[in-house]
Amino acid sequence: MLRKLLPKLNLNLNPKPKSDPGASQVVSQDSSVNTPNLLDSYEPDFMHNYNFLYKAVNSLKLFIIFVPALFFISLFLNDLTDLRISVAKKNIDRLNTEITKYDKVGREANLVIKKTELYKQVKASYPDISKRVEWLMTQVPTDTVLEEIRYDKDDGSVEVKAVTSKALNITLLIDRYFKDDSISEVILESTEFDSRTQSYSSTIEVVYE
Amino acid sequence: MNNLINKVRLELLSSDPHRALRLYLMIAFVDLVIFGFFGLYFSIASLKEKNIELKNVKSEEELLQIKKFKLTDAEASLKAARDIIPTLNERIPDQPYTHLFLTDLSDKAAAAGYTLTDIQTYEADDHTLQTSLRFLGSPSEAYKLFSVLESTSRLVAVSGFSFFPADPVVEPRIEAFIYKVSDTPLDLSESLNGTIDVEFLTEELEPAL
Repeated sequence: MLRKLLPKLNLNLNPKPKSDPGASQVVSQDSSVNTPNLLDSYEPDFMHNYNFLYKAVNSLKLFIIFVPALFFISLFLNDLTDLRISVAKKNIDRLNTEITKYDKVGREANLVIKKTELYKQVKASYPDISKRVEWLMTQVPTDTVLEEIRYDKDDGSVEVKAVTSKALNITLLIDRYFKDDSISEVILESTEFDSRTQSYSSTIEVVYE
Repeated sequence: MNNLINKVRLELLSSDPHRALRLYLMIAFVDLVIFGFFGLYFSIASLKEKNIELKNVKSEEELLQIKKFKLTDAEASLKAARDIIPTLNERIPDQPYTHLFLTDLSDKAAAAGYTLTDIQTYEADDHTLQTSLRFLGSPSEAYKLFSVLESTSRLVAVSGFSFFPADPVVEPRIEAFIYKVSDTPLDLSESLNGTIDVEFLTEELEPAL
C-alpha cells in the first residue's frame, strides 16, 4: 500500500492555506519542517472523496435492496387482500344459502309486518266512533228530538240537528255533551224558531279532541 | 470466498471509486425500472382496486348478516305471535272476501234488529275497499250499528254516517272502509321492512281470542 502512496506524494514548498477545503490538493510539507514520518504530512486526495463515495455507494446499496423489498411487500399485500376477498365471498355464499332457507319465514313476516303497520295507521286515523255516537244520541233531554246526526271523517266533527219546543233544552243538550271528556268544542251553528210548529231547530257541531 | 469479495470490493473502490459508483448507479437504475416502475407501480395499482373490491364485498357481507339476523328475529317473533296471527289474518285478509264480510255483517245486524238493505263496494286502492251500507231498523238506536260493525271479524273504519232518528222512513247510512293486504313474494335481495310488533298485536287482538 505504501508503494502506491509514495508516487502520489507531492512535496510542495509553498503549501496552500487550510481555508481552501475544496481543493483536493496534496498538502505539502513545509521545507522548513522536516519530519522523518512521511505519513504525517501526507493526506491522500482520494481519502476525502472516498468517504463521500463510500456513503454514496452504501446509499445505493440500500436503495437497491429497498425497492425490491417494497415490491415484494406489495405482492404480499396483494395476496393477503385476495385471500380476504375470497373468504368474504365464501361467507356471502354461505349467508345467501342460509337466507334462502328463510324464504317462507320472510314472506310470512313481511305480510304480518305490512298488516300490522296498516292496522296501526287505521287505528290512529279512525277513532272508535260507536261510544261517541251513543253518547250523543242518548243525552237528548225530554221534549227534544234529534232530527239528524251526521259525521264525515274529512271534517272530523259530528253535526247534530235538534228540534225542541223549549230553548232551554238546547243549552241543556250542549251542557250534557260537554260532560264527555273527549269533546273539545261544541259549537251552536244556528238556531231557528219555527212559528208554525212553535219549535226551535238548532244545528250543533261537536268537535272531538 | 469472502476474502476474495472483500478484496475485489476494496480494490474496486480503492482503485476507481467513481467506477464503483457508476456500477452501483446502473444497478440502482435497472432495479428502479424493473422493481419500481414495472413491479411496484402496477402492484400498487392492483392493490388499490382490490381494496375497493374488498370494501364492497365486506359491505355486502355485512348487509347479509343484518338480513339474516332480521329473519331469525322475525322467526322468533312469528313463534311468539303464533296464536294471534290467525286473528290478524281475519281482520285483514289477503283477499277482499266481501261476501264473507257481508254475510257476517247481515247476521250480526239482524241480531241487533237491523236489516242490511243496500251495499256498494269498490276498491279505493290496493289495500282499501270502500263500502256504503244502508240499514232498515230503528233509527233512534242506530248507534248500535257501530257495535255491530266492530263485532265483525274484519277491521272496519267508519268514514261517515248519517242518521235521521226522528224519521223511520230514511234508512241509516254508514260509509266504511275494510282492508286487505295481498301476499307478495319477498325479494331476498332486500331486507325486511321492519320488525313484528308482538306487543301491539297482543294488546289489540288478544281480547278477541
